Amino acid sequence: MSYVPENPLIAQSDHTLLLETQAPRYSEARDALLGFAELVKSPEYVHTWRLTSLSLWNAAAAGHTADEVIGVLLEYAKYPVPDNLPASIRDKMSRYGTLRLVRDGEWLLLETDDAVGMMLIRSLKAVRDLLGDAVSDVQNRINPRHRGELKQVLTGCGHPVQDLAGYDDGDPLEMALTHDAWSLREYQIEAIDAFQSGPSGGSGVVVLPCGAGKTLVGIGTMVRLGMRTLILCTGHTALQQWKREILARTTLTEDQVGEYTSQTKELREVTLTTYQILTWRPDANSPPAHFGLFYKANWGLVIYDEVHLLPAPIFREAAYLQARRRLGLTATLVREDGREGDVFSLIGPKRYDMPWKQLELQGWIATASCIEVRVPLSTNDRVTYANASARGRMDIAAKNARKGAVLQMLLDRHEGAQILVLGTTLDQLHFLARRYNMPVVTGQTPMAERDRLYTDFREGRLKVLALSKVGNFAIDLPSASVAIQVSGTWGSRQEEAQRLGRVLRPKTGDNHAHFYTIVSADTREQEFAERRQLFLAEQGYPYRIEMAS
Amino acid sequence: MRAVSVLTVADATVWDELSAIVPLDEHLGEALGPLSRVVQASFERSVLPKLRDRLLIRYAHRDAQQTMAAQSDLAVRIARLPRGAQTLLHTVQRHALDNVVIGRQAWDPVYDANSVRALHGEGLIVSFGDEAEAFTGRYRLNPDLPPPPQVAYDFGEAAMDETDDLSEPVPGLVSLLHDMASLAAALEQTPTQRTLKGSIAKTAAKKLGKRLGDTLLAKTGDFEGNSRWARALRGLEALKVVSTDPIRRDLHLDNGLEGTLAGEVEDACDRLVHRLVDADLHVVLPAIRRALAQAGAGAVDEMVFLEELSEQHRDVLISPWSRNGELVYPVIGDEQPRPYDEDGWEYVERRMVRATLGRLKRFGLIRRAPGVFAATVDGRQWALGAPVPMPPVWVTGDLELVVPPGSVTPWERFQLERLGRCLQRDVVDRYRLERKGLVTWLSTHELSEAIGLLQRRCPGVPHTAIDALTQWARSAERVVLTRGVLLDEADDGDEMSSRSSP
Repeated sequence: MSYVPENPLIAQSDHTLLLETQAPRYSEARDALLGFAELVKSPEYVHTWRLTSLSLWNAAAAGHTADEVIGVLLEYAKYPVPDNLPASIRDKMSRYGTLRLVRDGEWLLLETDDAVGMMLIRSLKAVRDLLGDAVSDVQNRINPRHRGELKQVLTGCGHPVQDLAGYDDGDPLEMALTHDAWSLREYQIEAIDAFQSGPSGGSGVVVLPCGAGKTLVGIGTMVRLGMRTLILCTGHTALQQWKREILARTTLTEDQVGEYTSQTKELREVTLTTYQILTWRPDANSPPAHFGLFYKANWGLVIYDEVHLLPAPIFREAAYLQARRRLGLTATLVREDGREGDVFSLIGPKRYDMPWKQLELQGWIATASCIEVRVPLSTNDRVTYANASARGRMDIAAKNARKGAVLQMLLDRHEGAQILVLGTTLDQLHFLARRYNMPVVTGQTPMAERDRLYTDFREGRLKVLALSKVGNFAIDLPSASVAIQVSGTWGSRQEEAQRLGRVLRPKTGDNHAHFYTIVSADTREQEFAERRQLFLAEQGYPYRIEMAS
Repeated sequence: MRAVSVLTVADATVWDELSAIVPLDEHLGEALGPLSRVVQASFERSVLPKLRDRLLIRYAHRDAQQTMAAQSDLAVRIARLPRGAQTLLHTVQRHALDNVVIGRQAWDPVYDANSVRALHGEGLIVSFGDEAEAFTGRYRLNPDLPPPPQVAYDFGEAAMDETDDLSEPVPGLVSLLHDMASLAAALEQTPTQRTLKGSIAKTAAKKLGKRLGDTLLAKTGDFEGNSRWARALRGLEALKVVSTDPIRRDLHLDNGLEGTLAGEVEDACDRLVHRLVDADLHVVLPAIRRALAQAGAGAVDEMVFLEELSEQHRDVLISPWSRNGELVYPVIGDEQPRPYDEDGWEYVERRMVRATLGRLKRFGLIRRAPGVFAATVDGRQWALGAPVPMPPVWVTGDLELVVPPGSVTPWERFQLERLGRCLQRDVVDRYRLERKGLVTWLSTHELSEAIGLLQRRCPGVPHTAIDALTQWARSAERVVLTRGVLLDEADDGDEMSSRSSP
């Protein structure tokens, strides 16, 4: 095979696949890749996909063969496919199904057809403590508590386990969607289908942009399964939003939906709780006091909202919950601690992913212009900055007094719009709030006050609202069309994306949102801003740079 | 006229900022404006170490306008020459290597003496000054001369179909050119040292491997064991653009790479061939290149080619001298002149052509069989140029460059690899634009050239990429120290103007 200019796919020898979006056969190729490759990033012109062991094993689990996968690569390749790829794909996919986990009464059995293969598994140091008694040359008993960890460790060692032990069905729960003047969107139904498809369906992560209706995917899944459900949220506000949505979108009634929080400990058919409650411990040496919630009821489904924020103790607990169906929801599966892989192995593989720009094109989220406004430091500040420590420099840059004037200019530019002012440095935020007469919500703001401010903002009585880091996640303020970021957490890509997400809910009219980030020019803050913008740039959101005079 | 270093700041407030870090005034000389001051020698010693991470060091260079002015001045001078001297100038250019020509190979010291004087008089050639070798010794050509017209060869009769017995192709020069470009860019950004034994130090080799996107080299650090990069380094050293400091043993990228790599792939390839082929065989290359171009995907009948060559512009290969009314080959000293006749052709030019074909086969540009030669893929590119259109380079909003094979020339690759870090060297190469790369770039080039480079090869450079480059340049150029600025001094010594653009 030689150079085929009209084809869109470039297969690299390191298993990266590059897809040219301008090529005539782009859409066709993209649909074909969905079955066995992972989308890594999707900036304009060239999208990057990757063939990973996990994606190939998932493809094998879904019934794809190695020949089919190789056939797709050859069909769409622009340049000859490197020789190592077909061999590697065959090798990886052939491993899936050689190790199987099946039920054996109260226990599980790890089995294979090959006695030598089982000897190899038993010799792995990392696996030894997780194996029970040997039943035969090709079978080993497994404690059900080790199901998740065993799969995680074996997958890490390159031995995928076909989990045929199934899930424990939770207590049945009668419910349906209300469908009053609304219905699930096509991609939401696709996500629900993808979550359940295949022999190992029933656990995994759905990745959708902020504002694309992940909550509805969760609710749809819950209704489809019809089982008792536990929902883990990032905080009180998010919990309330889930509750509102569940009551509005399903036939469930208030007495069936419970809150398990610091104030209330309701255990109902659908129970909502927060990561903070679950990980709370009375003192540093005690175990988390509320982990028992996972076992207090016969849950058929556990939903992890904003799964990229999953705290480490819940990771461990998730490993014990392998017999329950698990759904992770996120917009930004990037963790600054690099533990994205653990999310996949413990909650489940990525089941569905939709590029942000694709949904924008379809009008399901607002189009957005991202603008970085650079503000020079004053001469005095610059001299102080030049002689400050690294931390001091960041502080001077974040609190640059000239940002106020730019904020004022932007508030004037978008007068009448619903505007969020987002910051991390609290004294700066309070200072700006006082100066420009806007209410501010921080971690210290009482819950009732927060709810009141959010309601006022949603209903248009309040035009400008300042939010500290509490505004980073899961706050549903659909009317916000302008976000102005005045400071941020170092180079956090995830924070940047989540903050943009605050204004992406579809808007009436031109369906357009504005996201401004004000940074001090020629400072460390400017360098961090470049890193912060990386995830969004990879999603195809280019930043325009404006210099404040 | 004097050469000085000039400190320039983006705005007047930066003077205060710099003064807060280190006292400046005593190390600065006269002001060239509110934002520029000449620096004194003590600046480099006392101030530079304290400001090194805050200022950009640049080297003054001639801009495109100045180059064009010099070239148009030369065009006027060439037009003034008598026709004979103009023809001789073209012959001189065809025989020159690195802008240096040996007189006896290019002209008849007796009969062409007047033309040589005319060229000398117009400043188009300059003698190296060896009086004993007047008219026969070495002369340097003016570097701004336009290229000579192509020789009007026609080898249509020699074109034939490829035969089955042509030799197997060996790796050609195009990939070597690209590798040399990549390695040169990596050497510029990565301090590299040789060990006492002369090999590349392991730690440096690992860093080079990382910079080059070669995972194996980055892991093993065995540079000499890596045939690809070892070959590229030998190539760079052969071109004399990489040298090793004899005391510190570190490798330097010297000037001159552009002299080989600039222009299209076929130009770079042609210049590399000229450097690899013995100097006295250079004159054969245009004829072979033309024959390959006319043969296209086919082959060339060597016998017909030689016959046609002997009948067309034979004087291009060797310029005969005239002695006692007869044409003879050039001679050295008192040796007996050989008549410039058919026997002479068989003995001299025919052997030159055969020797050149042998070299080209070794360089992977042609395949040979008895009486036949044909271009390889690289040879075809050398003869015909790169296929048009070339595949596009993609620049994405996250500042990544995706560079498919054949989408850039070696010189563009060198420039791209100076601008960005290689992420992956594979079927297509991937780079990420970096601030550090742009700062290195700005030491010798302008920002507009960087943007122009991307726009030339990429159908739509996202504004994010242009914004990022512009902002990086802006922040890098807040404080600039330009070395080698030429100042015209007026008679009274007060008024000065800068002649070279910083």
